[in-house]
Amino acid sequence: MKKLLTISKDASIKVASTIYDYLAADHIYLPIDPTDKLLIHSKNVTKGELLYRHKKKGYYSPVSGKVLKIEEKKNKEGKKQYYLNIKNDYQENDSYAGISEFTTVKISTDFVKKVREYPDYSWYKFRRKEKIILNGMEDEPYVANKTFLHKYYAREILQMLDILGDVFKIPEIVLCFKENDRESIETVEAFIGTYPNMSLKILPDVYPIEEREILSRYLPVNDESVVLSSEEVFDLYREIVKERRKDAVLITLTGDAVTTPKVVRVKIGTPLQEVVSATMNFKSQDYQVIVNGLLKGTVSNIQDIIITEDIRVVYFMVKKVTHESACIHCGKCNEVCPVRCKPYLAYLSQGKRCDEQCLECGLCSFICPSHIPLYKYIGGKHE
Amino acid sequence: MSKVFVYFEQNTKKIQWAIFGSFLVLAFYGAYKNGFTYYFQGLLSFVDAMKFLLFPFIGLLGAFFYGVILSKKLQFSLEYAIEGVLLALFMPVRFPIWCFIVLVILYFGLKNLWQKKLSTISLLCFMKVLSMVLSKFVFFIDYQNVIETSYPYLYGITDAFFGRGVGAYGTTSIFLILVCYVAFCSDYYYKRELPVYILGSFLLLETAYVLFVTHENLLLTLLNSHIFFASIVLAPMKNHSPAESKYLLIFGLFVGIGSFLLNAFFDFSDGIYIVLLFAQILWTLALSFQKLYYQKTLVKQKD
Repeated sequence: MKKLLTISKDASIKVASTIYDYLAADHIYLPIDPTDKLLIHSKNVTKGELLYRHKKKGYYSPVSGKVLKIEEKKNKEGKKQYYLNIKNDYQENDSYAGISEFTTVKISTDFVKKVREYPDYSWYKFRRKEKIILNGMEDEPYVANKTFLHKYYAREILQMLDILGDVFKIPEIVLCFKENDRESIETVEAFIGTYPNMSLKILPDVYPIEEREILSRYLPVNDESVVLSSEEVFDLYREIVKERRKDAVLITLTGDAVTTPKVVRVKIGTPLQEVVSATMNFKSQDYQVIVNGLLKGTVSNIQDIIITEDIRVVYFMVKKVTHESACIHCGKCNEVCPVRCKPYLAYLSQGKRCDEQCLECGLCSFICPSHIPLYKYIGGKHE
Repeated sequence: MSKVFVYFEQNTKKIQWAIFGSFLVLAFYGAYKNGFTYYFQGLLSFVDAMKFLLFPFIGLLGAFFYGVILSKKLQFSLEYAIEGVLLALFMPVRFPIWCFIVLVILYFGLKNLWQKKLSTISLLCFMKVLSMVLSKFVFFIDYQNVIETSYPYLYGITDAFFGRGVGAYGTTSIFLILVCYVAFCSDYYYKRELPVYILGSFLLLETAYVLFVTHENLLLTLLNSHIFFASIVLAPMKNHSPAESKYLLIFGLFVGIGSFLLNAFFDFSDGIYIVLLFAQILWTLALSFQKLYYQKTLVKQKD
């Protein structure tokens, strides 16, 4: 088995011990296509109300308030994007009924049929499975979303997993955590005793273990297993058990430019600038904003970032100048690739030999002593 | 487009100090073995014994001036210092000092241009081959020091291992070279398998040759300090050997077998430097062809 790397972390970047809330955004911006048909009956919307559907995905209002207009703004990639602007009235009027009679549903065999009311979720993935694997690990350095979720909601996550196991007749549930995530392990250990169908699996802190291909090296992940992240399970719990539509996300705001990195709960659609002004202090003003990862993230402008469900972490890193130099033929890029791609070959061929099995984990570029952006070559994106 | 914002960092300064320190130990051992032991025996004057320290000193001086000219400020660059001392280490003991000074000037003078045009061929290796040619055909000297040429000597396996044998200025102690290997291994980018390939193939063939053909003292024949020094110090240097593991194996076997052939049939105990240079030239050519070939067609590899 190929030896995987551990990404070394700066010990001084340590996240604050509680979740901070920023749920009072004045305006909420939800990405919309001008051709999408608004499904609202009046301009005043309630929290959890279906606003529109885009590519079969329903968009619900995270706040109650007034729909103002569709406006054009830049998105985190710097491209133009239309957003539906909702003015928050801070009333939090919630219209979502969710799935009623949950307690009876829980023991009912037609659970799958009932939860069809829960939108946009692929329930078919639970059919005829033997094992549920909870992926409670974070690959990207300094991200603590899952750790905090486990710390505050371990009981709820385990309860939901148990329900899923019961309903879909899945006999085994494996909870996976990284060996250095002591907080998650200890919290889960306190509750796991009441669930005989669940077991704990402690895995090494290697990158990118969150990927299914890599996870399968440490435990059998096959067609008979379904892998769920802690966030996914918790969202299911909120929607099905608590009957609440997902209106907020946890994001880690971290980096070497901030004084205290924090995990913040934010309403979906909140401009990042607003969250940062309200919650963060900076050591250095000369920083760059990186979204979703130091190894596979994108650099972005803080004014352009609107919190969406796909944003998990925002890094504020002090700007460093790195120079790309000529390849020294060390071969480490080939050596570290977890799926045995050949970044070196891709580099030699100037992107003409790309590898489609590439996970885009960024390890080849991370290890390169010449700072060559090998991810571009292997993905055939080199110009 | 996604990008990498964090890079693997190793403590380069610490590694460079470890390498520089181990090279200094080799250099001081060279001065001790070739000068001070004879001084203590009353065979050499103190001044003559001290002369051996000139080799690393000149190398360091060359490195210092190169660093000053390059950076235009007084600074001591460990990277250049390592190269300066390395130049001294593989010189024959009786190599004229003035000629060594010329070689040092030539090395640092050519360094920039060489790195631009021939970065995959080791300039150090080229300098060594040049010094070998000069020693053999201009100065007519071998690796023996003045005393070894005058007195009959007898040494055993432990002597050869710990460095009493005949060899270049700083390469006689195989024990210290192996210590250098440990220091090199702390560098994540050091190709630690290459010395194994070279030494493995060389020692295997040499053993067979000695056992079945020459019937000489096996261990004494195997303890060839040039092979150990070149395979551990020179061959795995960054940029001068293939990156892919299968080509690295071929490269290592080529150097190992080539060194054996030159050692066994042409009595070139230091033939490894010639083979290494030749292997680097061949690899450079192969790399150019490989690049041209790969850049012609778009190939998407699937699972």
